[in-house]
Amino acid sequence: MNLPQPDLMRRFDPRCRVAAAGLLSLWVIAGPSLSALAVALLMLLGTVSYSGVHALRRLGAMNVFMLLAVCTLPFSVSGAPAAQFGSWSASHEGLEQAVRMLLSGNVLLLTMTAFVTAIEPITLGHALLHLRVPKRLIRVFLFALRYIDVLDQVRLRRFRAMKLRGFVPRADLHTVRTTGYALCLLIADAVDRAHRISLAMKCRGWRGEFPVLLHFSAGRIDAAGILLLLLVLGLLQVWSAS
Amino acid sequence: MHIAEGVLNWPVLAGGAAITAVLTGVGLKRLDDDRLPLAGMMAALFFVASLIHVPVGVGSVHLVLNGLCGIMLGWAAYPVILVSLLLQALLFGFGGLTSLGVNAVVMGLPALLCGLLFAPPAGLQPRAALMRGGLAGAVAIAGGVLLMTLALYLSGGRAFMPLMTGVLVAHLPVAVIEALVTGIVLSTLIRMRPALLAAQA
Repeated sequence: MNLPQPDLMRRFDPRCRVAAAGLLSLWVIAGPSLSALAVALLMLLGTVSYSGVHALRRLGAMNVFMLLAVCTLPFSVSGAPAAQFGSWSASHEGLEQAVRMLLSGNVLLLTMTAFVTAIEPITLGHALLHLRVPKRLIRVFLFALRYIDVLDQVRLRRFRAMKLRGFVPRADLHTVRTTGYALCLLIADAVDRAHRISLAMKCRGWRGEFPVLLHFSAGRIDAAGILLLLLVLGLLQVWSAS
Repeated sequence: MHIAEGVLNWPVLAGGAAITAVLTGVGLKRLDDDRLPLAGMMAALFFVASLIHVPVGVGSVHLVLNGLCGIMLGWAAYPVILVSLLLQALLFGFGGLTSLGVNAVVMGLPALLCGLLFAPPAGLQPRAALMRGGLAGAVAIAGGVLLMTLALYLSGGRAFMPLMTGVLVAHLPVAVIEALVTGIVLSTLIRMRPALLAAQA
């Protein structure tokens, strides 16, 4: 489930990458001009394609939702008419809002993909710890990360066993009931497993705290990266305002 | 049940993030160290449950189970849901950084409500548990949809009407399936492993 580490982004400190993603997201939310957003989108597409993360599938899933928004907004926002389709008129304001939504949604998703997704999740957990995200939340995150795969194997095994006994999912009550039963077994398995883990960890001296193994050091290249980002954002902002 | 990135305006996003910060803090405070592995396991479980699809008509819906999460974990449901959402954003690209807070409110608040309203008392009959679970499943999704439409309305007003209608219609089958599954799960757990439901604090 871990994505391959891209070469470009790997050189940067994970903490700086999370901070950069936050910075860029804030800039997008603050509402820059459409052309600035478009430029940001192109730059991010460049970064992501260079880093080799499969971003297109992720973008596809979100843009299905966006399609609904983009098709309806020009008609539901009132304003100066831009085009007429029978008795429906598309407004300038609506079109602008639709394009803004489309651009900023994609920029935000690509920001996440380019800066954060490529960080190995465990490293991300440590980076978030260093960024003062509550320790307990990170512990829950790390536990979850460790056991997603285990539970998914259990899920697959259960559904394979059901299939072998002739279970075919249909839109009927039997399917719902069977799914419910399978889920109960999954829950029972998960809770028992959590209990065993808790006991096993206590035997090994667990006092409710993971040692923090990964430490990062930000260097010149990180400072340069953040400065570059600030510079680009600054230029885009100046261009937006003019 | 995700609001996509770029849809909401900044006051709504900031509000969602603030509510999430507070409720996560409360949830973590009420989660003692002994239950940390359980909470992590539950976050993984809700992530995995979202991969289970139930056919409906021509398409299918996946399980959300936020109501069940609230019943089983009480206050701790909130940080667990937040972690689950973060993992979905990281591994699948559903939702993202900026909408994480709002999406956690959309799923977490109804979960907390379900924990308060529908946590089964000791000695509950399986038939009563079926009704209780069904209500919890329906309320959890209905509450989520309500919060989602509220977030959309606060962001875009009447212009988002078609989007809000879309959200409502898309979640009708989800609510039905969720009510049925949650009811069945709760009544089965009461018969099979009543101790699991008493773990809430």
